Amino acid sequence: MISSDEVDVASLPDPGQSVIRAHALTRYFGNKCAVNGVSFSVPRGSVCAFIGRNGAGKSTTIRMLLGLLAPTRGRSMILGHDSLELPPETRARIGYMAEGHPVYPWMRVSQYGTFQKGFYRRWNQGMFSSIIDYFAIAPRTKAGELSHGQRAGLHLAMTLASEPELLVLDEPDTGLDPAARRSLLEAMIHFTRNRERTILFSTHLLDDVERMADHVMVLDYSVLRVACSVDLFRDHVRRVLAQFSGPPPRELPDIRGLLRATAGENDLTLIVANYSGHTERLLESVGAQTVVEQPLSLEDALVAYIGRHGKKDLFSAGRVES
Amino acid sequence: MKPLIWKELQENARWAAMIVLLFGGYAVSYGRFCMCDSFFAFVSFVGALFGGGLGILQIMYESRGDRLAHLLHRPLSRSRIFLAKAFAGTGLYLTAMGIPFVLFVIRVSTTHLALPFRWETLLPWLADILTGLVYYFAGILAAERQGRWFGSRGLGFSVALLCSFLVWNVSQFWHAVFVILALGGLVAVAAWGVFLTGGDNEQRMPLFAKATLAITVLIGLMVLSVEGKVIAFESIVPRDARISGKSYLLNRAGRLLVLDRSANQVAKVTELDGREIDQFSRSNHDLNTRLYLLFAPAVSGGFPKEGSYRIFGRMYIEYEHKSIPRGERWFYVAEHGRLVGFDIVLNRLLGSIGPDGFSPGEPSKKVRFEGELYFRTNGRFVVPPDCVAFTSGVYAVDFGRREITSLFIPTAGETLLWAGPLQDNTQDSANVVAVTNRSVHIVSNSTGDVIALPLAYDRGDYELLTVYQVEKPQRWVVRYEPSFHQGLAARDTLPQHFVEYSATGQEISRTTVRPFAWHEPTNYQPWFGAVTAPAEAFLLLGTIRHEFIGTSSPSGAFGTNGVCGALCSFVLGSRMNDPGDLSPLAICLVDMLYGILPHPIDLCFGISNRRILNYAAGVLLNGMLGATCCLLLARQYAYSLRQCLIWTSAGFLFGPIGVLVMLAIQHWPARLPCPACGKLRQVTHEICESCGAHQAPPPLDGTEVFESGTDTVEPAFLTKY
Repeated sequence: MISSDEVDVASLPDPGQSVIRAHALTRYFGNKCAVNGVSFSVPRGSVCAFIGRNGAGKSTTIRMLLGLLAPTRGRSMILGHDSLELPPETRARIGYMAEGHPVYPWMRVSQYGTFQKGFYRRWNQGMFSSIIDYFAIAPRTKAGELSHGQRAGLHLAMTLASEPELLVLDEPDTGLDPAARRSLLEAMIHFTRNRERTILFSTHLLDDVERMADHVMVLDYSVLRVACSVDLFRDHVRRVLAQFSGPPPRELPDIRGLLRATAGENDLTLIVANYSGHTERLLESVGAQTVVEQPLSLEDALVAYIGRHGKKDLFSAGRVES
Repeated sequence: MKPLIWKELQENARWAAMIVLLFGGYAVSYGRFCMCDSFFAFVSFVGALFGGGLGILQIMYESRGDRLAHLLHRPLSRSRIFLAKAFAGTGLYLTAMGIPFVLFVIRVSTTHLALPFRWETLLPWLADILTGLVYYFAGILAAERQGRWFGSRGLGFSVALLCSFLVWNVSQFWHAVFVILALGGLVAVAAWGVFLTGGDNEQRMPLFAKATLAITVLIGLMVLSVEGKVIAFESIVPRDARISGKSYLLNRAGRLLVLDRSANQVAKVTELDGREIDQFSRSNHDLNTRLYLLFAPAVSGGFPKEGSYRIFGRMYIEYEHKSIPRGERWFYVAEHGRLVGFDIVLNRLLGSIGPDGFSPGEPSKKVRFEGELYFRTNGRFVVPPDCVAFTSGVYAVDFGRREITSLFIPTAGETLLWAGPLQDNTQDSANVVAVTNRSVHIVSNSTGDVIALPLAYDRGDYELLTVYQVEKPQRWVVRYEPSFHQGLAARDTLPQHFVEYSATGQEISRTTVRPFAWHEPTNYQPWFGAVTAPAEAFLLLGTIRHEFIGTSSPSGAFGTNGVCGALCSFVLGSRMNDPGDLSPLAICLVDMLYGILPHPIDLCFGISNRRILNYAAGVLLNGMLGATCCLLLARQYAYSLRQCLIWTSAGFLFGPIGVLVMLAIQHWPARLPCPACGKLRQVTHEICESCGAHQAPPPLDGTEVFESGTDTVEPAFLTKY
């Protein structure tokens, strides 16, 4: 049911040229909230990684963005159109790789080329063939007989051959062996040579994010916690080492932004988002003698986010892992 | 769209091939068996199974999750994707079911079959094939719907079943086509609407599609409701207990007796005053033989015929006569006006018999029988009498000897209505009774003399006649029963007359007796009002009133005109109480509806009857219950005043069915406590229905990192510190 009091997402401020804009996207399945008030924008030409644990709501969000699923509340726009009313010509400008790489098992790979070609005005058969070739897929093979990696390759070929402006990939590398993953990444990198093209991809594999992404979004149990450039993210998430004269305290005060706390013999390592002097003062108040910032890789920072336990109370209570 | 059609055809061609092999083989191998009711029933069954199955298969694989996303994310509108699927599906269905049909037509066009083939005889087959399309769209609807009320998925099939029922029972082929188009179109549009929304959110469906979905669900539920009530009634009141088993009969001496074959296990014969004179065990196999010996030989006629495009009687009638040799089939072919014989072993034409006798070869351009052949119908089966009777005369035919003898020719100005043998089981040969518009003629089997008994009552009121042959001394008795076109209630209330004639045709006496009601009203019938919604009662009562109660009946309580009358006239064709052929649908409805509705006799006396009052109270209660439930639901989900009124009215009109329709087609979002007022609020609404508070953004835990300047939520703690 669409309420009349919804915000018109088109009227929202758009500082950069955003390819995707979402405002308060919410989706319920029965009483379960799968996506809760997600708002973000994806700038044109960016490679945006969408991260979250299983069941966090990544695929649901992507389907809502593409107009394949109606949101319970909120709106989104993609390439300047309301997601729910995407005209076919705009849809043709969006390449989408669905999770799990579904195929029609009876269809041969070469037939797939012909089949897909019929839908698109711009169809690069050469690109389709070369990607198929790259993934070592025989054109006469039936799609049902392909390995997981080859199916991903077939999907990538179908997606890229339509020469889309925006590529939306839903966990494209899940279940792929390292070689296939490498191939997939290389194909994506090739795709982004043209800076007018944008990629939004969801993944569990954090080293891919480091290699590919310039923007990152973290969905934490249906709530979006991070949506920014990688640089900003690195800047806001810090690791600090607090030295104590004796064993560190078992209970910590309420440290806002605390993602992880690990206790050593006489020290405490914290990963904190939005680190500020206030955090330092709080640590000193519980007996920390020195508080030192340490370098933190992007992967570790992301792991700190998505590796959190489901119950936030553990953190708010300030419990410490030993 | 073309690639998608190609893909659908490739994907589902195997099912079509299977059907072609199954049916095509049968049609080519057993051609002559393809022109019978049981084969059409088989076609209907396979068509429904294949149509429904194909619809489900086409959608089910791609109805959820990634596969649905893979299908839908194409530069095609959803409508075109649906159209491509439906185009391929209907094409495959029609091809698979049509190829055997065409093969059969080629077979009968190029080779001889031992039957007089006419193109019109293929119409039932064609109608049954087309009916499968309704099942096809019902299959699509069932596969794609993700309604909260799971049972509502299958209601498309309920509509398809109704379509089958109507197609089998309407009188004209074009009526059947209309029914298929109307119900098929309805389910197809509903399926399209559901496809547009991915099956899970009817609120985004176009209004037109949503209305068709609502009607589909409504019709489906009403069909289930009526059928459920009929089954319940059959279970509560056994058939034997409600159909009056009493009838008047004459014994061989001409005494009027009552035969009672009611619910009890013993068939009794009583005097008119109820004194029992004999009884028979109903389990006794020779009951009929004993009755034949006890009662006078009789022959009846004047029954209305069932008129349907599925009855081949209009084109040809097969004769089953003891003189037909084995290996031969004889038909009366209306086109040639002659009896035509075939050798079923060699599949060749034997010749034809006309008023001029037998002549070999093609029957065309030979002397024809004049007028129409008299025959009776039993359901969809045609039952020709032993003697060949036309409006112009009665003939005895010996098919084995290829001989024809004229038995009776009506005088000028007389028209033969019907004829039949008056067979006495104790004798080998039978007298023949020929009834004209003026008199009853009895043709003696021994001398060939004809005795004429003038009609004693107006044929318009008393069309149904039975002629008895009584003995010691030999006499004739003619029984007059009210015509069918006077209506069911009149038949159960108007008196019957027995007129006795001497052997030479002089009237001796007249006896008038009150009729035994065919169906007695039961006390259970009013209770069905409580499970019948007002709209349903209006529709069913309108139908039964229109169909079964004569226009001259005393009640004006239920109008025969208006919506029901128009619908009945259109769908049912001729009314049960109209002169002429009966609609098979009317006969089916008599059998189905009389138990769950107030009895036609009660209806005649209108609302002054207590049973009718109870029924009406039950119907009102049903409507009130539905209205209350709908109103409560609408208020709970904060419907607007207009929506509240619409759904409360629907609840009243359709009772619990209206509530189920509401549950099936409306969106029922989760309701969670509002943080501001604590009352339940819908998750779809931005503002709380009770207190007007906005939906709160997700709680912040301080770990939020957002690009500044975007339309994202600013973490509160950053400003705090």
